[in-house]
Amino acid sequence: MFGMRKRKAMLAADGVLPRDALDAAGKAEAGRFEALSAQVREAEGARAQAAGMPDFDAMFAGVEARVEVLRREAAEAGARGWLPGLLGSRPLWVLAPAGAMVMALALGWALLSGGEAAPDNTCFVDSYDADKGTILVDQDLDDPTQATVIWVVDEEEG
Amino acid sequence: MRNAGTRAIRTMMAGLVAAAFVAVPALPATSAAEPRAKVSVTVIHAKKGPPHLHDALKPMWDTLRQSFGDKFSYFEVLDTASRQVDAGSPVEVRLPNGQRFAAIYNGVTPEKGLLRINVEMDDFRTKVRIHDGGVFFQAGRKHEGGILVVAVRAALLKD
Repeated sequence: MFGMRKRKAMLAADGVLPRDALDAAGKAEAGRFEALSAQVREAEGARAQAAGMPDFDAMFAGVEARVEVLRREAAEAGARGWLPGLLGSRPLWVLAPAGAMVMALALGWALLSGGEAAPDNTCFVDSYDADKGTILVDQDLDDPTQATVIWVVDEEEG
Repeated sequence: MRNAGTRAIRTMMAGLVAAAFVAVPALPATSAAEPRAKVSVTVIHAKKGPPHLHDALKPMWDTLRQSFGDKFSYFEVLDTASRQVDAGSPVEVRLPNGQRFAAIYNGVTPEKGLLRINVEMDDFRTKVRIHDGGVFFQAGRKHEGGILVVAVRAALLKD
């Protein structure tokens, strides 16, 4: 895709790589990438502003900051050991009521959702009879949501 | 004298107990012993063609689609009847071809509490057992480029 020189120029344009690490051609290319990037940002910013879209740069900066915090917390938790890392700085007496609340919510959901369960459409056909036509029972006793269909098909005329 | 009185009372009590044993089983099985149920019969015209679902069928669309969705796309309600009935009472509709369709609730089974339903349509008869609130279909009679589907639902009345 891109050569190493172009890749370095892009990184330098983004400020990730120091400009001094590039040769003259690379510096020129980095300048072009910078100009292109500025044009794209300017155009995109105007479009976003016109459309009332949120500021992407600000949003992404927030995401980056949050990722960094999480990374630091994970590193600290790893240094403390797995159990303190799992519990964090929260003592057990704080976690116990939270756990009880989660259990209560789960139980409540199970009870309430049970009341709204689909009816059991299992149908046991004990007998059927007809003087004419064909009778066919279409059912799947393994699937209680599926309703049984008792087909009574007229005999073909002629 | 006292012994004779006691003997008379004992004899009378024994007679009452015996009469109770004989009389109770002899009582007719009244419909009051069976719970009442709400039975609904819906006559549906199903055919191929532009997709159409009658508003009244929306609550049972999942069930209808599972059973007939691969064959038909047009579902219109032609007639419906819904009644709260005692055991032995029919809920009837008249089909477009003039035939009578009756769903007769016949009480519940003692073991699992399944509702017994008999269906009568022309010369066709069937007996089924369904769960409380369950539905089943009778289908197949030809009608105006499609077929007639009759949905029968039955649910026990909660007092």
